[in-house]
Amino acid sequence: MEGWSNLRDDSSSHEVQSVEEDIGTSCDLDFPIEECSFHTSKERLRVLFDEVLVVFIREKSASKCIRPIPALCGDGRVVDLFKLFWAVRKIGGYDAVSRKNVWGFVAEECGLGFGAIPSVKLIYFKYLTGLDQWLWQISKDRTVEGGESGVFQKLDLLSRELETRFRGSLSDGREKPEKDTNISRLEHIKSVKQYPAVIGRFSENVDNPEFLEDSDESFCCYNDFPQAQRVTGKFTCKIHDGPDRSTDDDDDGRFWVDNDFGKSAKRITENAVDEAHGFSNRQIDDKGKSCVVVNDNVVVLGKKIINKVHHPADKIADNEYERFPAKENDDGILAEELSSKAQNLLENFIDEERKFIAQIGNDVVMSARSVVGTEPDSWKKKHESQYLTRMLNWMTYVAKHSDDPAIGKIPECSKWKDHGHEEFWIQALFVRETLLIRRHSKRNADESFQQDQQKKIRVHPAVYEDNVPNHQLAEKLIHSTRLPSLTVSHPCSRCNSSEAGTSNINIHQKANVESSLKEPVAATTNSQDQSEKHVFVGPLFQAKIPEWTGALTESDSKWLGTHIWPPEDGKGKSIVELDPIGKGRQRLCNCQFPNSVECMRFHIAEKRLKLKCELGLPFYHWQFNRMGEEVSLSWTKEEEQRFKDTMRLHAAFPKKFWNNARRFLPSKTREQLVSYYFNVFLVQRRSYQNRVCPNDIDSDDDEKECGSIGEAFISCENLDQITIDIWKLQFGGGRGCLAAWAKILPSILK
Amino acid sequence: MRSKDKIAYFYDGDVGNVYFGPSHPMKPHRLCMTHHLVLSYELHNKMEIYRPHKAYPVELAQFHSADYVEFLNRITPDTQALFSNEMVKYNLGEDCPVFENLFEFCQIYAGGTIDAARRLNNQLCDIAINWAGGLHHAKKCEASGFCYVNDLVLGILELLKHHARVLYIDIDVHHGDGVEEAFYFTDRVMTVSFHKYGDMFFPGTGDLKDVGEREGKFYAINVPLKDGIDDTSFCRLFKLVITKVVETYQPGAIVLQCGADSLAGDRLGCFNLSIEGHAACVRLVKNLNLPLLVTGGGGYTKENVARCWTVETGILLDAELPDEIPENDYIKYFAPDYSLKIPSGPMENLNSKSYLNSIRQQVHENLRSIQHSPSVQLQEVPPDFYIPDFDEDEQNPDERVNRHKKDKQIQRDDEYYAGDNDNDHIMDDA
Repeated sequence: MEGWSNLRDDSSSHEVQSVEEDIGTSCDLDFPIEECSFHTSKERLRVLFDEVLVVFIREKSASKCIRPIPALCGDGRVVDLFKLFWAVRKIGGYDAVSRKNVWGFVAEECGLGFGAIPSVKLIYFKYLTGLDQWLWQISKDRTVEGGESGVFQKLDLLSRELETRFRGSLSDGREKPEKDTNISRLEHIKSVKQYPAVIGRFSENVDNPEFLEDSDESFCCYNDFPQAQRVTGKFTCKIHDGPDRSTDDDDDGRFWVDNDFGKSAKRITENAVDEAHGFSNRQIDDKGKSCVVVNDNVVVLGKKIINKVHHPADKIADNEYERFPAKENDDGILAEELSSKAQNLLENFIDEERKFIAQIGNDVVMSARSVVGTEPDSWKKKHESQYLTRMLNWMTYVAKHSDDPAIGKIPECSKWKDHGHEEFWIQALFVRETLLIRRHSKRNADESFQQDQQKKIRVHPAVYEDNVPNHQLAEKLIHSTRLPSLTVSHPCSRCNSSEAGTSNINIHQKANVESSLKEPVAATTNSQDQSEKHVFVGPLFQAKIPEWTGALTESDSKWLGTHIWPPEDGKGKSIVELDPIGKGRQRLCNCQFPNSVECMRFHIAEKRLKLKCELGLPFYHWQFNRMGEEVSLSWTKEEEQRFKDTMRLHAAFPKKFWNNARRFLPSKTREQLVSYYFNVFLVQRRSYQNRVCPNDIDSDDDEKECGSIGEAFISCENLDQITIDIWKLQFGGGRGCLAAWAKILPSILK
Repeated sequence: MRSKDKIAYFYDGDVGNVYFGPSHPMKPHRLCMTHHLVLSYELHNKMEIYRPHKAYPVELAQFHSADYVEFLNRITPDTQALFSNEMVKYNLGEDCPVFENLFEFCQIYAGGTIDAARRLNNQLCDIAINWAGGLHHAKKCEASGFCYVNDLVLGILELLKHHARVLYIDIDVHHGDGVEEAFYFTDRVMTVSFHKYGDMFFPGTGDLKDVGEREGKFYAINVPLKDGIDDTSFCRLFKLVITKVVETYQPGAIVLQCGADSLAGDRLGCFNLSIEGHAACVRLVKNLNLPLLVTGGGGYTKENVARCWTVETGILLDAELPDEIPENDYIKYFAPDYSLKIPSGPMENLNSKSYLNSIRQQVHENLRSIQHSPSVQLQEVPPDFYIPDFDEDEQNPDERVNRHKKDKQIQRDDEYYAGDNDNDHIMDDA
């Protein structure tokens, strides 16, 4: 603790207080184990961690062998490295965990259970020990005064702060801004520690909007600490040393300017010493001019906007200083003031505008991403993306506080042209437009492919997904995403090059972008993407229709279908008259046990026999002989069992079953398999379902299980003698069956 | 009214064995079940049953591009990997997989519809039924939405040889985009499709304002509906639209696509029609007494498809079917009630009365535009059709209805709901 506070100079004493208070309230070193339970909301830190880890393993790791990510335990489960690192770190490192013998807890924290202790231990050793030691090493280099324990504490502090922050954010919104600042600062501390490795990857961090949200502020607050200065120095050294880095003074200078700018901004927010690091508009203008060299108007516009945001912030800061001389969470208040000031700029941003702004933000980030992707060694671009990110922050504020009535309102889009460039929102629009254009030009490259894809809409993506637990519900969800899934897929495929660690975020952002394209302004540039589906016209789509002449064209009378029924000889007629048409099921029967399985089976067989006798040859034309459960009679018991077993085995992947069916049932053609599937297998399952869970039959979801698959088809032996007779009769088949029927009927009715 | 309709019914036992693959919602086995149920109700004694010929590639090429037909003929599950470009070009793959006997399957169902049209043309029957047909999404040069060959277009083209104007009606829950597209430029075919539209529902076309182009302008009618439409509102709207269409357009023959996925509880659909509501539409069209070609279509809950089409076969045959399903090999599919009719579900009807009313008005307005510019002379076909009243039809004609009672029965044209569902007061307030 001592070392930690020693690190600060007087000017940052407010902060020390606030941070220390946090430490005091939220944690002490002897925290109980339960306290370090993992909160899933720490996604943002996770992203950072993942990036660092990837870089570390690739570039820094002593052992040259590449370790696969994600890490897998022996049994194939994925180990969440971040959770693992977190849990171990909280307990005090690998040694401490081993000493306290709490690997079980760690394993549980990672969601793996006690069985995985050895795997977890091994994975920690292989993946994370190096990282841990390396972090340790770096901090030792830097913090001469603080010593090892200081760094260690800081890392712990980081963890704890994060925890506090996330708990706080859940419970208390008021505390949020303050902690937000803290967290980002700490995050930044962490990332600064890793600069040597991250340096080539800084652009990736820049890409993370959340990270950048407060990054310059926290960066400069870090500048206040002596060791931070050293880090920055080191950092700059790296800039010079980096093989692919431009050592040109201009860049370097700008970097420092940026630091100054950040520093001064920080000062303002602290309402502290303004002379030394004072924020001056002129300074920014200078920087702005130098940024023109960057030759991207986006930057200029972005700068102007930031300028404007900061300008009022300046004033507020002064006022605030007098009003709250002893504030402890000045950052938070200032952030709020800033946002309330910013929100004044816009009045009538309603929901759509919010989306729109979110889109701008995403655009900015995306552009930054793409820029960084294309020119990784250009620091100019880093500046750009920082500006854009600041603009994004402003936008976010505005979006969050849309209802403030104080400052000007955004007119309808049709009137936008009437306004000068000095308005914030119009600048924002320019930025957005520029970015859109840039994005658009990229898009053109694979336009044709996309259009091709756009045309092909699948009827129903969900239906191919197996094991949909409640398909009705899933259905509805999928209905609404069906078409957009096509458009959304475009940018995803385009941006695959971006780092894997943040890909989830990417997709999410892009989804937002695409969905918000419906906004009227966007429609002007992206109209073809969003255009409704229209009927395609042209010779490739319409049928050729002959002119109507009035004279009848000879319709081919040759192919009118083959007459099957009624039989030409009028044999069927007699039966027609015997039986009234459309007789339903008879409620009463003379069976011993009405409605029993045997009764039902008997009546089905009876009906079938009757039909067969009546139809004669058409019975076979229509393949009635291949309908119903009798299909199973041509299968041996072993074959049936094999079919069922394999089906059960492949229940999750029915495709596999059908692809391999020939291998385990070589004697059956596919047609026979299909016939068996529909006529026997499904019917049996259905009858089982009818008995077991009659209220939960998903009538057409053939793949859905309901309980286990029913017991095997009751074989002939189980049936009573009469039924067997009928079956024999039937399969003996043939001409005289009606007579046979007449013979057997009395005995049945007896 | 005709004394006795002559019905031709097309079925080929081979379609039942076609398998689109595991997890695919389209199951031709439903055709097998339908036929089986039709026969277990002994409906075969009231109609002629034919086995359709297998349509020749040259017949399919009457509409489809020759290269597409040729590719369908050539491709097999084993060779599809070699033709990935063509697979993409013709939109084969996930929705429209290549399976064994694919082309034969297409030949059978297309042949059925073509044969049906020819029998109608030659006046060998009054109504022709081909439940295997009705694959209305297929396009000229590509497959789409489980449909490979558009038998409806082929059937209509056949009918156009004998009829100046053909009316196509589609009550599948999906838009009949393939048929509409094929006849988008012509006034010789009027396409009317009732379908779910919006929420990116497949295929995404079928907006009210898509009315056709060039000569075909106003000869494509789309009735876009929202989720959960029920019998009352659907039938009323159907009646209002179809009677007006027939009155205006005076078709020589009608093709009716009876996709059963508009029924309540369908695996892919989102309407709330009972079988009776669905069948009422068929009855209305039948009672127009025009040469009628009835096809199947969608329908992804097998047993409901079988029920629905059996009921509709019965209606076309003027046979009342008892509700208890007779014993048959597939009786277990019809558990637990073993009854023929299924009710609609407890689903909210998102189609407000005013919404339906605005659709009707728009459709009627579009129809008025064609009354003034008929490019195919309407008088050529004698107006021998008969438009019955939807409600009166079900009453006993022997029973006399006094004037007072009759007046009570008269409803406004824009009345879609009865009783509690009526939101007249909302309208009035507005």
